[in-house]
Amino acid sequence: MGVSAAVAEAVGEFAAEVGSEGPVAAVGSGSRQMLGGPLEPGTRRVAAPAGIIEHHRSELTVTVTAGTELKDLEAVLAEVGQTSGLIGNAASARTTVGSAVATGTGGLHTLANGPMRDFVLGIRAVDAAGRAVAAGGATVKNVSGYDLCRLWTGSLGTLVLIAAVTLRTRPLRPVRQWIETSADPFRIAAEVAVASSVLWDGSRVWVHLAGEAGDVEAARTELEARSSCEEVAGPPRLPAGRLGIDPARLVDWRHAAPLDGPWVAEVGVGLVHTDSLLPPTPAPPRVVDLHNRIKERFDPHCRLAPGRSVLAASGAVR
Amino acid sequence: MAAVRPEANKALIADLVTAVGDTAVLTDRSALAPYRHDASLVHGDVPPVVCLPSSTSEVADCVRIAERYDRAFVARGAGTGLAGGAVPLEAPVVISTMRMNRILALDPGERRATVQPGVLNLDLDRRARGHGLRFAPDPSSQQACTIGGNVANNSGGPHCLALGVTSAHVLELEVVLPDGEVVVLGDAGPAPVGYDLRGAFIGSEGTLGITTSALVRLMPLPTEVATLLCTFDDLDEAAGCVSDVIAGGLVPAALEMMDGPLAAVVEDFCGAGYPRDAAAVLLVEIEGERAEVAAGREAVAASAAAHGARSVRVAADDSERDALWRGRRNAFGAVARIAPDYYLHDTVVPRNQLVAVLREVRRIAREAELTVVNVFHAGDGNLHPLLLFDATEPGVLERVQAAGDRIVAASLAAGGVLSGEHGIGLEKRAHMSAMFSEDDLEAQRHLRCAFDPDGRSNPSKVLPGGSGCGDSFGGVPPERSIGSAARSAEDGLWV
Repeated sequence: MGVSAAVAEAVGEFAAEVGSEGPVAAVGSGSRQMLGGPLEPGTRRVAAPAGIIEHHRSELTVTVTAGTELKDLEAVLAEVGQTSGLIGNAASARTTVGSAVATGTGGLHTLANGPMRDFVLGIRAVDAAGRAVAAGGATVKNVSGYDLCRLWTGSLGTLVLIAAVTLRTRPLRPVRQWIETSADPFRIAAEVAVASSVLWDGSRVWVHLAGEAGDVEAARTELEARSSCEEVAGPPRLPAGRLGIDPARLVDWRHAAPLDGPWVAEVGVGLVHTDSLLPPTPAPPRVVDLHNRIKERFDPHCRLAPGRSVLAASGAVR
Repeated sequence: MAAVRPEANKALIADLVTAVGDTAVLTDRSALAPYRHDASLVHGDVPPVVCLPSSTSEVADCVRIAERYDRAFVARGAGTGLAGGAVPLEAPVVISTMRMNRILALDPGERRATVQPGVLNLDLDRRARGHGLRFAPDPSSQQACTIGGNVANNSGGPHCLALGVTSAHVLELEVVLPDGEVVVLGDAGPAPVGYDLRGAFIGSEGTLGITTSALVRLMPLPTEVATLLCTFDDLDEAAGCVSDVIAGGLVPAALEMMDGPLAAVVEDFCGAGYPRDAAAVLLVEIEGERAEVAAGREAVAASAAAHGARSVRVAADDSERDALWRGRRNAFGAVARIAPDYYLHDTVVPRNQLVAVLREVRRIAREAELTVVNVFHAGDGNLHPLLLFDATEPGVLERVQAAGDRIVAASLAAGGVLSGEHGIGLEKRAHMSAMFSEDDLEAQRHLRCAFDPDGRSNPSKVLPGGSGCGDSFGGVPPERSIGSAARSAEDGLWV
């Protein structure tokens, strides 16, 4: 993964800070520190380098240091009509790029863009021995060796500490608006091509429409013909926790949701935003074994984020 | 691994016959010969045995039997790979998934399908189209290649520019691990708990295990499609047009480029409606909603005009669209008209480096006294130079190999990567160190060794220096260059 001297230098400094001994974990804004369980006492916190944003506008890619706040990245991209696709789902206003990648948390437009793991083209990280390691590349297409970017995305800093990433960016659509509607959210997600997000809390429905003016207008006209439809300032406030469900099963929640507290689901995607997380379904022993073997290979002395386990990270409803 | 004595195969073969039946075990030398190679120029050894299991449990049985006899195994689909990924080395048990060719379920409402690994890419796509859906990855070999092979290679294709390559379309995999255990990686939800083992498995070229079933996403067919053919008198201008289109915020469904000499050959071959005297043509497809497609069409036309395009033709109907695509899809077949052999390369460069790297490719070919033609996925910078040659010419393979190595080096120097969709296999293994540091490669090795500590699954592929897990396989991988491509009579008429 070719990166600029500035990024390489920042990664090198981060590697020196991580060093090769003692328990250590990366921390961004701290909003998602509890995912996967509490860190063991005495774990040293380190912050990934912040503030380097190298936007390759005509490539639709950006290389950014992991400590950079998402809103700063988004502001740079928005100036030229692009987006990271990671915004809108932030656990705090100061959530970092590294946090989004390490927790695998994408934005609110997975329905249109696909999951965030598909956006990560390259990762520069620091391994358990304190060395800078790279995976992936700077191009939008790449099958050169094993896909460690996908392995590291969502790994909660238990395999490597992410220092910088190269992300695919997307053009912002000319017309973008949130509406609240009484229409069936499942029909919208299936049929309205310009719906980039359909949120549903069991009764209310919010839809983000994004596209060319004519297409958004046509979709609204159709929606208005069969339901109420009103432009709103934005999506509802989302609970900070998330869990995943087979999107085909979400329709059952019309009758009874298996959660105690409030929730907002991304229809057609299966992400549910809620604070009443369920305990994760135990993984089969052989899958647990694979996780352990991967962890042992990458971090034989268990110094990266000790106490944290990706298998304990969130409640998935199966 | 020491050479395998023929009698050592007898018991192995007997056990395999017991597991999958004698009609699913090939041992006849003429039947085995085609399995020596894939569609690349890199050939391996004739394997001692090929199994054709019909179920997941039979695949697991084959893998366990291989382990019992301390053999490696190599999974194989249709053998259309272009990097030697399925080429047998070290007398392995070859496990073909071609008999596992059923679409187990297709749910149009949820837009997904469960398929066995031997299902052909085009068969799945055709079935999906009956429901207004499609399977987006569309490699040029889609009539022949299998979903299992697509998973192993994370295959792409022209329409992956906007829709993403295979990994974006696979939700869940059932795989047989190198010790014969069956696990499910990923799930139908958006955020499977744990490491993304599904993602790590995809593109691992058969070195982490064998896919026995895949839950794949199907995409709705677009409301509107516009297909444009832009003709240029200057290759650099065509490449500049590509960069401008993307920079302008348009991601077409497909953005393919073909250089003039090849376009002429293709036109002679299949009458696609391409010009015979242009320097380059761009085939652009824009999909989406009505206004979106109209705006995209305008943007492409404007960009083409700004780059001095000689003409911009919009396909008037489906038959004209099909003709334009027929030219693209038949490009490799058409090449046979002008050269008996070709070496198809696959690298990716940043889109703004297309012009410079294409120039360099032409220079390299000229210096090697080879003809080069280009047809490639310009929209994502995925170059596919074809070096044309006649393998009967003494010494030509060495020249082709050397020119290929220089093309790879030039792509890396421009900030590119080794492969966009063909993978590393054996072909580019030696180049891995040019793209990755030793520490980077060690990280990749961690994944390989966690899944396959004995290096039993498709040994000696992808990583230089073997899997290096302290294993009995792949310790010192044999060097294979395309110099080993000289076809022997036993290869017969396999194409």
